[in-house]
Amino acid sequence: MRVVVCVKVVPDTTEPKRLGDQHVLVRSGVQGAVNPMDDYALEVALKWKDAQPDLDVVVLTMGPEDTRAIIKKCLAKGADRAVLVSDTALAGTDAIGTARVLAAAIRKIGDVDAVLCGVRSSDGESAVVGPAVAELLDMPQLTTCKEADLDGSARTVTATREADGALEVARAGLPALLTVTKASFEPRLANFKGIQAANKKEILGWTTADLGITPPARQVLVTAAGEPPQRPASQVLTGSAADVAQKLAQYLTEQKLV
Amino acid sequence: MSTIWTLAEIEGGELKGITHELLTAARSLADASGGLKVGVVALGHEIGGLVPLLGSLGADLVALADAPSLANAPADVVARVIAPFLQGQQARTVLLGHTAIGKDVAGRLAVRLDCGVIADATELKNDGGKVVATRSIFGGGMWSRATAAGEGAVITVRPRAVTPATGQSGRTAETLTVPVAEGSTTRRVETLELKQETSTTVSLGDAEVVVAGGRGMGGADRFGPVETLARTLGAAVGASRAVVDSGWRPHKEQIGQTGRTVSPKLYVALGISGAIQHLVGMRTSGTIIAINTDAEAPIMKVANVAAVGDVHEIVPALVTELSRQGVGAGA
Ligand SMILES: Cc1cc2nc3c(=O)[nH]c(=O)nc-3n(C[C@H](O)[C@H](O)[C@H](O)COP(=O)(O)OP(=O)(O)OC[C@H]3O[C@@H](n4cnc5c(N)ncnc54)[C@H](O)[C@@H]3O)c2cc1C
Ligand SMILES: Nc1ncnc2c1ncn2[C@@H]1O[C@H](COP(=O)(O)O)[C@@H](O)[C@H]1O
Repeated sequence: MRVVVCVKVVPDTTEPKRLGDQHVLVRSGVQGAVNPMDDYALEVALKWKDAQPDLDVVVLTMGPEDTRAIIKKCLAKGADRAVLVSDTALAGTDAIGTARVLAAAIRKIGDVDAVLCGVRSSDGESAVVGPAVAELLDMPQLTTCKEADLDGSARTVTATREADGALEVARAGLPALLTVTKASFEPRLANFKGIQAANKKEILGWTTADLGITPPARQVLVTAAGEPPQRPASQVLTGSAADVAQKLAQYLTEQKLV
Repeated sequence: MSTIWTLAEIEGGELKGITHELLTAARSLADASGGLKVGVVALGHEIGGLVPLLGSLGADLVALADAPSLANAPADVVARVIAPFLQGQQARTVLLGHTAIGKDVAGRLAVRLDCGVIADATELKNDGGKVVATRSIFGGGMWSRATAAGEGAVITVRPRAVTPATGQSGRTAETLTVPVAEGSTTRRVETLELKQETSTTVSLGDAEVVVAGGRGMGGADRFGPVETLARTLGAAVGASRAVVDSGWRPHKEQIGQTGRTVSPKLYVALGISGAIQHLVGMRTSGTIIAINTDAEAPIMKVANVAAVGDVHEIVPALVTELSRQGVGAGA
């Protein structure tokens, strides 16, 4: 069986972010990291692989060439191989365009039983790439999953997912797409053996031509960007607890917040 | 532009709050563009009774997809049912909530309509006949404005970003029927179990007021002030990752990059330092109040009111003061 994990390399959140030409995030020269939610998605796949060692876990990413070093970390944790779709024409692709490229790559990988995505990326913050990929591949989706079990013989996946203030246990037939949120477990770290093994694993490089597609046209234009309007300077309250509490209560009433 | 379409959210036969917000946003866009119509698509079973309310909330057209199998339909079914209808209507702008079901539908619908998605908009404006959406990016560190490159887009609107207008009882809407093709409602996802989370207070996503506690509370058994203040203000309880990781609070309460994003009217941060990954999840709140012993903590810079002091002293005094004024009495 084969599982594809979609992993996005995002700017490390401790680094300041910059917007460049056409208000597109400047990614080169910025320290990258695996999108935190995608780390959980990878962990779900690796847990499946722990139970079923012949499971083929493929990491798929679209991004610049210099994301290779970060994708290698996913291989060190236990993924079998990786595909990097990289093409200068893809810079600044929007969410649905990204989904079209990922879906084309998943078709090319072939015989995929499940696709795992993060719920959302920390830089795109759209949470739409996963469902869009599912639609393009005509798969059912289970979103905001906290844990999931793969049943190869029944050809189903059963997940515990967050659904509007409730926890839902839901099942879908394979092939299916799952988006994963922060789970109750922590993603594993790579050990020395894994890091050694990763050196021998393959990171395939594909372009849009390899996928037989033209780079998706941009369907969303960013027309402006800027710093948020300054919040009025903080009103600082100091003094005895009773004093501070009294001023807070007064503020809340005056501002009609209570 | 053509009719501005929205998708209603229905729970237990009632409209959810986001529907009011979407209709308010759509109505003001339509009015600003010189008399465009507002349409709303509603899926469910026996929902015809909602038409007058949808009309009074601003819809000119109410399109009903009414079938037993459409109550609480999963995203793939929703997209499959409404996409052909919206195409037939030559819909350009479609507004969904940036809610659980809205997010699930947005990507699928955009693929079918061959347009882009603008996610998590906090403000919508008409600019010379085009809809321009403002969204906060990098956790509120910056904002950006986006618009459709082509003719239209699916736009998800952040809950509570729009203040819902009060309905006008005189308005009426025309009812349309969304054809439901044979086989289009087949479900590929099966719910095995639904565990309502036993939340003592309001759920975070819907809360108008959030009281969140951090490591500064001092321990799992020292969260009393957070809960008491939340009860007094009718607020939901939130938490920083530090306290969730320490097992003091459940993950569903976590706010920030790896938790939930909230945008309540009032956010009260108790003993939270305000790391960037936390700010990401609450920065767009209306009013922020922080109580912290450290006047230099980053949260104190983003707060409207920064109260310097010990939460265990200030909060009990605040609760006493508020109840003296009759706030939270009887709660
Ligand atoms: C990839 C990644 C993702 C992350 N995601 C999240 C996330 O989603 N959400 C999140 O919150 N964090 C997240 N973090 C963690 C974040 O960086 C911080 O470590 C965390 O938010 C700190 O929590 P805190 O403010 O409760 O604790 P601290 O930073 O320890 O702050 C405690 C504060 O309490 C104050 N204090 C102490 N005693 C008192 C008292 N008696 N009265 C009043 N104030 C007092 C202190 O002055 C201090 O400011 C993430 C980190 C990483 C690397
Ligand atoms: N460029 C990309 N390469 C691989 N996966 C991606 C990419 N962009 C988004 N994804 C996947 O889609 C999820 C949601 O992203 P987003 O819609 O941007 O919030 C991410 O968590 C990833 O799993």
